[in-house]
Amino acid sequence: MANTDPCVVVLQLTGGNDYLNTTIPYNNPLYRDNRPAVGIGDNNIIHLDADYGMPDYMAPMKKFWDEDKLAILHGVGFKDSPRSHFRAMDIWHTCEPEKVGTEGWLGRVAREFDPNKENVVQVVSMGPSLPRSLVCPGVPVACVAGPLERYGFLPQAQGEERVQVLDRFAKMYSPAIGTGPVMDYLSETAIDSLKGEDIIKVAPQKYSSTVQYPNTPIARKLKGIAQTHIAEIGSRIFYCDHSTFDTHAGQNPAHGNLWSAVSQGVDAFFADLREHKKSDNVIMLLFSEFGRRVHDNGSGTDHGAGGVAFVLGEKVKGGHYGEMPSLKPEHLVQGDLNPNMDYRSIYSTILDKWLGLNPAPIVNGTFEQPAFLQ
Amino acid sequence: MNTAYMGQDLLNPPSVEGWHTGKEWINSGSLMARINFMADKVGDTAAPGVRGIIDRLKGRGSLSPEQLVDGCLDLLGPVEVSAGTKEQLLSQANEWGQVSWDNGNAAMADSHVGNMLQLIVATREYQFA
Repeated sequence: MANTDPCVVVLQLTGGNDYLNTTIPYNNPLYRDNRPAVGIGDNNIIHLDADYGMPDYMAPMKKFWDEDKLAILHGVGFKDSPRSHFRAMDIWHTCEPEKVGTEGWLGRVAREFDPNKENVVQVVSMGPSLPRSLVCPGVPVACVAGPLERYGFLPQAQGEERVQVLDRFAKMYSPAIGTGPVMDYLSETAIDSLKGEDIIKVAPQKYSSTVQYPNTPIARKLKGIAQTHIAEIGSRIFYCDHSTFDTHAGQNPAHGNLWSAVSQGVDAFFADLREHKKSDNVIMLLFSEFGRRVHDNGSGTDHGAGGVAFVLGEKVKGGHYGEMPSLKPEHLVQGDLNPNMDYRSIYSTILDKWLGLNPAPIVNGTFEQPAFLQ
Repeated sequence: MNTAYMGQDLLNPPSVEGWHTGKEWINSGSLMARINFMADKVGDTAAPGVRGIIDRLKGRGSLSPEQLVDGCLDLLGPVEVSAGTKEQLLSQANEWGQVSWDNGNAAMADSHVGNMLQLIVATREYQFA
């Protein structure tokens, strides 16, 4: 991999981010009508233009907007939103809105880039779970559950003893024919992890920066991604998440706390990459499995349909893409915004214009590509 | 934090529908965290539970490599392992030879038991038991 190969960072806003309080149609009286309890007050809205604003707790994101490096993708979703976190996230991850899929779109990307599995740290996920978007047979994923510095097996053993223990460990986990798919998968995971640990642990050792990250879970994950990217170990797909945006109750201040952490973390992340002159080949996608209902419930908002996604980076053409679906009662679908941009459109642009891949076999179809990349 | 690193953050499942069963917990990060957590626990030969295992093995007298492996597998579960895994455990025990707590060898014997227990908790069979 060349040091300038394009990389993708995905930040998943888990739980269903509230579109209308993230990109606020502040001049639309229907916004006020529908948000008597959780609407953002005029004094707390940062105007992006004559139609839309952001809540002030997203202020760091406004800087990217001012630099024309933030694309706002409106009305993103899919037909017949199931309002189920699990199913909706699966749809986003697998590009299979009609049936249950088993392969993730980014897993397929990784397989395209490295069919022979030569780089076990091409895909790095910061967090204890393996998102289905990264799952693909034969594709290793380095899941960093804790601090990057502690990534590795049996850290208690040191020196020669450690060499011996890990050698024995590798032999125990060497795939054995006939042990069944689960045990084989376990073996493969362990062996790939063992190979990856020596590579990935170098990242924090090589890293130094003047950027101070906030002390939040998402900032720690983004710092780990920055360290890995800056170390140039061949990682091209990065994944992290922040939760829970499932703001049924107490949306204020919960939504503000969530977005403050995300915005500040993203700000620090790009500042770090820029300090190291490593930001040119990175774009970040922020998405959530669905938006929330148009009318609040008196304390929060319940599961809805159409949502908003963001793409930011040096090579992003900032601006609005698509249109916010109508808030008029007659245009709502069971009280929800009617999505007007298929989520696979965003993937298609990223795959075609950024990663240089044919999107169709990865996203299972051909979709319009919003032109948010230079 | 350990439970979080192992993929089972208390009161914070990966989705509102809870934790998934089967092999879905297995990924490089959670597997590492689970192995390291258990290896840390059973490798502490001063901990009361581990001490109990050591004392019971010690009560059986001097142990051949096979007796050491079988004894540790039995006292940790019992844990059933595949022939291939057993071969690797035995191979390691063979490098240590006869394990005895006599003649000033107690510290070494304790260490060998601790290391064997660590290897066992790192096996696929133990992790997926």
